[in-house]
Amino acid sequence: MENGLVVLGRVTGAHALRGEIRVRFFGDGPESLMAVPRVSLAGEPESPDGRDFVVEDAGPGRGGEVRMRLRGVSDRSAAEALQGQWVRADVALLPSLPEGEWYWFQFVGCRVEDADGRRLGVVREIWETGAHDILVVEGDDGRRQLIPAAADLLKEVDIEGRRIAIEVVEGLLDPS
Amino acid sequence: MSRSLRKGPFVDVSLQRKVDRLMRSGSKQVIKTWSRRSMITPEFVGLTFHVHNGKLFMPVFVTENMVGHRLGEFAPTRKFTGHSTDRKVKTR
Repeated sequence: MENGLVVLGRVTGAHALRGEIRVRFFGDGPESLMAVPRVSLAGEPESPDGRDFVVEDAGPGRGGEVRMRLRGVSDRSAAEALQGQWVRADVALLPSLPEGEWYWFQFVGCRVEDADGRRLGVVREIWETGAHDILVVEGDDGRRQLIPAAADLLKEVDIEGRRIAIEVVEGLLDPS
Repeated sequence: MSRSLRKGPFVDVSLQRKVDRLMRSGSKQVIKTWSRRSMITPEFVGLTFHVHNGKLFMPVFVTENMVGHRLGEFAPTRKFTGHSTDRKVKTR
């Protein structure tokens, strides 16, 4: 995913008459959609094909939406034709995050080790809860462990090295 | 209607017993519980609980800002499946 496309939202319709589109964002907020200079629109989220557009302007829209003006989309009918398209962006264009924050896609695929370097598995999914996120770590035997992504338990995060070291407190693994 | 202050926060007896035992030993062992209704008290801070959500035990690491809430609030019973997007892991 480091050099791929990440889905940021989906076009829900046109706004006004000058070709602006409304995009419902899927992330924590509209910041990424409002920051990227280029987007790729496609009919399917994982499609290798897509039409690239330069973002001329982007701003907040209705709740959960961003209004965007794309180069080459200059009237309402052209904007309406984009309804339902998935809005993707190159991960390299996403804004950098402050210390202690990472994008989900950076975590997925990282190997997880305990403090002694013993391999526990690979992050397959991340679940959101009311508190911290939960890393779903799949071991070599296919069993899944749930690890809380809390600062006190994540001892080291090395995104370049694709490695996360955690503190394994007694009883954390295999609760059932 | 809010709970009377006279009664204090509700914590299941069995859970409180486990917490007390850990406090005495100074251990950080994860506590397994089905008691989603128990309120998080200040002595829970820094402990990790496995809270049952009806199917799985969800790990919940308790921090200060969770005090006063119920354990069940942090172990969702439904799983949201969305797209791989620009969501962020925040540890602070």
